[in-house]
Amino acid sequence: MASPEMNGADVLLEVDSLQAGYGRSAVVFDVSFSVGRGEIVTVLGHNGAGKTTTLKTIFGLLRPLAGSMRYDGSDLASTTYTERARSGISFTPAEKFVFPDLSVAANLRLGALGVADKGRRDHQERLVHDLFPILGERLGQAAGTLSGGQQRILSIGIALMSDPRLLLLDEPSLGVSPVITQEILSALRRMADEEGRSAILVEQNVGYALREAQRVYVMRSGRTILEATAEEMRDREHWWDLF
Amino acid sequence: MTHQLLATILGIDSVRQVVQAIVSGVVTGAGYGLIGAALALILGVTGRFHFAIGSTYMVTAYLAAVAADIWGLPLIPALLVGLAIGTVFGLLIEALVYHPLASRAGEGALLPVFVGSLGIVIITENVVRLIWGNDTRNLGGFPQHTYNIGNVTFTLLDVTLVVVAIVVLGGLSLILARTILGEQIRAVRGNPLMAQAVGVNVRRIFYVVFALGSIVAGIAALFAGMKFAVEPAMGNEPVFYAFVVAFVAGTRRSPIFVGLVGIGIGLLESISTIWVSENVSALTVFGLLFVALAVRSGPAGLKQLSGALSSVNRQVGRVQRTGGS
Amino acid sequence: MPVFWIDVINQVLIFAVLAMSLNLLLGYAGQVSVAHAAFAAIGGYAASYLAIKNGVSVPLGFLIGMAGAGLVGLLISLPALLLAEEYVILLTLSVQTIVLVVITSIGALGGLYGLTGLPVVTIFGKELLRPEDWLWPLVIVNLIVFGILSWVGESPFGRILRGIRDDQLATQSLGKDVWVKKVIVFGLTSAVAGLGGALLAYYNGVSSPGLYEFSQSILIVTMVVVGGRGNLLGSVLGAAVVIGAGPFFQKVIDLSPETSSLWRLIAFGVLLIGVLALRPEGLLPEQASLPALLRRLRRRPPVAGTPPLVPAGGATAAQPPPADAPAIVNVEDVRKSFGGIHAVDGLSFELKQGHVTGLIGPNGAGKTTVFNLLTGALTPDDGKVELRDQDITGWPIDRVARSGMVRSFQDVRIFPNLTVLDNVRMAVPGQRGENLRDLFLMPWAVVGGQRKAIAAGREKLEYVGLAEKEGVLAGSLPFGEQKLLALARILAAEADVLLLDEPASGIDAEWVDRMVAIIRNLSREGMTVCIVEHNLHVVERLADHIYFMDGGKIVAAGPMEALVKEEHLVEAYFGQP
Repeated sequence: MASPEMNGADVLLEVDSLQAGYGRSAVVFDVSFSVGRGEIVTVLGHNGAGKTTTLKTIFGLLRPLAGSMRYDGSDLASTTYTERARSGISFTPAEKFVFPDLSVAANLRLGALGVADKGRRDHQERLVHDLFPILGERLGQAAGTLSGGQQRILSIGIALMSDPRLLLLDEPSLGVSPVITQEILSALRRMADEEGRSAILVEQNVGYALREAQRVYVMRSGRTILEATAEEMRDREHWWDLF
Repeated sequence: MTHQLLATILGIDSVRQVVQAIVSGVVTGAGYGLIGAALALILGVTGRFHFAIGSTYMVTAYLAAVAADIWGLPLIPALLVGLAIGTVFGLLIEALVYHPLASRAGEGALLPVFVGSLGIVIITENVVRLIWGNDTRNLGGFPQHTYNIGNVTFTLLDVTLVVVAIVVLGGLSLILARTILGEQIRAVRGNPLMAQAVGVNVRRIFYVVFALGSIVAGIAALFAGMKFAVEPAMGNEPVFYAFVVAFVAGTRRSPIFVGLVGIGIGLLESISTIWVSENVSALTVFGLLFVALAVRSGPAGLKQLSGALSSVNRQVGRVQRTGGS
Repeated sequence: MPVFWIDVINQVLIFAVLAMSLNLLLGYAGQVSVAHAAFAAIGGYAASYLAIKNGVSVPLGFLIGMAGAGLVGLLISLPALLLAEEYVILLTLSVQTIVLVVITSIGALGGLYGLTGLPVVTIFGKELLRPEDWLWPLVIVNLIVFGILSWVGESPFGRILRGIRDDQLATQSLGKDVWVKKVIVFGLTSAVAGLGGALLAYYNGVSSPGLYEFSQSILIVTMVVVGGRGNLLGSVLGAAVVIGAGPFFQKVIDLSPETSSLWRLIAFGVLLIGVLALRPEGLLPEQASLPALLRRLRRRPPVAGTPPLVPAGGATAAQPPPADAPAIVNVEDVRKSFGGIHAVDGLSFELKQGHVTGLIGPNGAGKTTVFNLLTGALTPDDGKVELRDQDITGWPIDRVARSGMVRSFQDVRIFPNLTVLDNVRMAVPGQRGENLRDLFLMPWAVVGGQRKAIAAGREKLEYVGLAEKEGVLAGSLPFGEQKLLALARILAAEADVLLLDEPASGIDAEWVDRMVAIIRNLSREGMTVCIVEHNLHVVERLADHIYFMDGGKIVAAGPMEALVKEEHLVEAYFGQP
C-alpha cells in the first residue's frame, strides 16, 4: 500500500503482507505499509493489535512467518539485527528504554556503537545535544535516576546517536507529559525535514500520532485496516470504530 | 588478666591463633573471591547456571600441570598454557552446550542448562582421569619462601595470591566500569532488550564474559594447584563456594566487591576453625547460604507463609469436623 | 543368571525407588532438588543406627528412617515455597552439603567409615544374605512404590503438582491451594528417598557417607531427566541405564573395571547432554506413561459430527438482560499505589448478574490492576471488594476463585505439558483426590470423582468447540485454541463471575467472532462477565454496560453510543488532536 505520491526511488521501507509472532503463533496476520525517505509515518491501533510485534520484526528481534520487508531496495529478512542497526535502522522500545545503571553519557555512547567513523559520532553527539540540551546537563547522572520524561528524551537521543535513516519508535508518548512529547515530536520533524530521517511511530494516542506524521496506518487484531493521510484522519468524524 | 579471661571465655588459645586464622582466612578468601566473581559475572550477564565452572577451574590447573610435567615447560609458560586451554574450554561449553540447549528451551532454560552443566562436569573429570590417570600432580616451581611474623606464618605464594586477586578483580572492575567493552557487558547485564536495540551482539558478549570468567576462575585454580595439589576432582568443592559468594554478594555488583565478600566468607570459615573442626566450619558457610536463602523470602514471604499455615489449619479443621468419615 | 547381573538388577531396583521419588518432586512438581541423596542418608543412617545401637527391628527402623527423612523434607519445603527455581537448587545444594557434613562429623555415626555391622534383614523367616535373596523382595518393593507414586502422580493431586510446575499462578487462579501441596510433595518424596537410603545401607551392609554424597544426588537427577520427567516407568528405565552402564562397559565391552567405570561416566555425561539436546522430554515422555496410555485406550472417542452448542459467527443477544439485575460484585473506593504511582485511585463500580460489563480506557489507566485487585493477586491499600455481599477484600487468589470469581489472563497461561482435557478437568472444584487423605483412605471415591470430573471437563470442551482435541497437548495448540481452552478451563471451575482479560487480543477476526459468540451465550445463561478490552469493536458487540477508566478511576459509564459522544472521553482515550 504505497502512498500514491511516492515513486519507487523515494521508498525507504516497504512491508508487504507481513505475518509474525512468537514461536509458531502469529499475532500479526497481514500487515502492509511503506515509509518514504524523510517521512514520518504513524501506526495506530489498540493495545494488543500487534504493533510492537511488527516493529520488532522489522528491526530483527523476531523472524517473520510470512511476507516481505524491503529496506532501501534489499530484503531485510536475511540480515541480523546487528546488521540492520549498522545499516541505519534504530529501535526504541516502549518500556525499559534506557540502561538504568549506566550514566547518560554511557547510554549515548552505546547508541553510537554501530558508527565506526569518529567524525560522524561527534556530529551526532552535537546534534543530540542541540536538540535536547537537558541531556548535556546530566551527562554524569545514572540514567535510572532521571525523570520519566527525561528518560524518554534520552531514549530518542540514543536512537539518534546511531545516525539512523529509519527510527522505529514504540509509543514514545507513553507516560510522558505533553510538553516533552511535543519536544520529541518536533525534534523528529526537524530530523525528517532537515536531514531526511524517516520514522515509524507506533502510538495509541491518536492526538500525538497525527501531530507530526504525514501518513497514518491503523492496525486492528493483527491487520492493517486503514491507510490515510494525517488530514484525512483529523477530519474523520470519530475514531472509535477503528479501535 | 582480662585478656586471659576473655580468651578463656571465647575459647581462644592466644592472639596468635586468631591472627593466624585471619591470615589464612584472607588467603583462602582471596581464592573464593576470584572464583565467586567469575561466576557472578557469568550468572549476571548470561543467566547460565554455570555449574561447570568447576570443570574449567580444574582443566586450567590440570593442563598447566601436564604442560609442566609431561611437556616439560617451565612454570610461567605452563601456567599460561593452562589458562589458555581452560578459557577455550569455557567458550566451547557455551557454544556447544549452553547456547543450543537454551535456544531450544526458551523460557524454561534453567533446568536443561543446569543439567547440561552437570553432564559437562561428569564428562570432564572422567576424561581427565582416562587420559592422565587418577594421580595427584603438583604444580611446582614457584619460589618457596615462608614468612614468620610473631609466630604467624604465611608463604610468598599466599601473599602473591592475595595481591594477584586484588589486581585481577580490580582490573576486571575497571574494565567493566571504564571501557567500551565493559559498558556493553553492563548494558547486556542491565537491559538485554535495549542492548539488542543499540545493536550490541549479545552472543559475542556472552563469549567475552565466559572467557573473562574462565580466566579469573582459572587463576584461582592455578594458585590452588601450586599451594596444594592438582587432581581431577579439585573443581568440585570450589564450585559450591563460588555459588555461595556469588549469591551472597549479588550478581550485579562489581568484581572487587564480590572479591571482598569472598574474603569475608574465607574469614568466617577460617575463624570458626578456632572452635570447631574444619568439616564443621564448612557447615557455617553453607548454613549461611541456607539462612540467606530462607530469609530472602522476606516479609512478603512470611505473609504467604502465614497464608499457607492458615490453609493447613483449614484442612486440619475439615478433617476434625468431618470426623474422618 | 550369574550373580554379577543379579546384583546389578538389585542395585537398579534400589535406585529406581530413589529415582521414582525424585521424579514426583522434579518431574511432576517441577522442584529442582539436588539433595535427594541427603534424604536417603537420613533414612539410611536412622534405620541403621537404631538397629545397631538400639536393637530396633529392621522394619521399624525403616519406618522411623522414612519418617525422619520426610520430616526434614517438610521443613526444607518451607523456605523453598517462595524461592525461584535457581534458589531452590542452591537451597537443596546447601541441604545436601550440610547433611553430609553433619553425618561425617558425628562420631557416633561412624565418621567417614559409616555404620557397620548392620543386622541381616529377615523377611517371613528367610534371611536375605545373597543377591538372589534380595531380588524378589526388591521387585515387590518397587511395585508397591510404583503403584503408590503412580496413584498419587496421576491423581487430581498429581495434576495440581503438574499445574504448579507448568504455571503456578494459573493453578492458584483456578482455586487450588498450592502451598500445602508443595510442602506435602517435599515430605512425601523425602520419605520415599529415606526408604531408598535404608535399602542402600542394608544391601551394602554398611551405611557409609560415600553412598549418599553429592555425586549420587546428581546421578539420581540424571536418571530422572534421561528416563523422562513425569514418567515413573521412565525413572526405572533411567536407573537401569545409569546403573547398568558400568557393568555393560565392564562385561560386554570387556574393559578393566577402572577403565570401564571411567568410560561409563563419560558415556553418561554424553547421554545426559544428548538427551537434553535431542529428546528433552526424556526417553519415556510424560504422555507415554503407563497410566496415560491406559486412559487413552479406555477413553471413548468423542462422537463425530456433533455440532457445537455455540453457533459460529457473530451472535447477537435475543434480548438484553434485565437492567434491575442484582449487583454480584461491588467495588467500593478501592485504592492501590506502587511507590508513589496511584495505579488505582478511588475506584468504585459494580458488576450486575447476567450482564457483560466492559472496562475500557487508555493504556496505563489501571485496568489489569483492577482484575488483580478483585481476584486477590494484589491487596488493595484501601477500599472494599464484595462478592455476593461478602467482603472478600484481601482474600488470597485461590480462595476468591473457590468463591465463584475467576479470571483469564491476557497471556493465556494454559498448562502446556498437560493435555487439553487435563487442563480443563483440573479446574473442576472440590475433586476427591486433591488431598492425600482421600487418596489413601478413600480411593474408590477418588475414582468416582475422576469420572465426574472428566464428564464435566468434556462438557466444557464441547461448549467452546474443542471436544475433538481433548487428547492433544495444550502447548501444541494454536493461540486461538489456547484462548478457547483457557475459557473452558475457567468455566470448569464452576464460577459464575468471569473476569476476562483481553479475550480478543492476539487472534484473527474469525477467532474473535467465535469468542464473542461464546461470551454472548455465557451471559445469556446467567453468567456475570466483565471484560477488559482494547478492541472497542468487540466491546461494542458484547457489553451491556461500559465503564471508562482513566487515571485509576472510573470517569464515565454507560452504553457505547453515549460514551463516544463525550468530548473529554475522546480526548482521554485518543489524545488531543
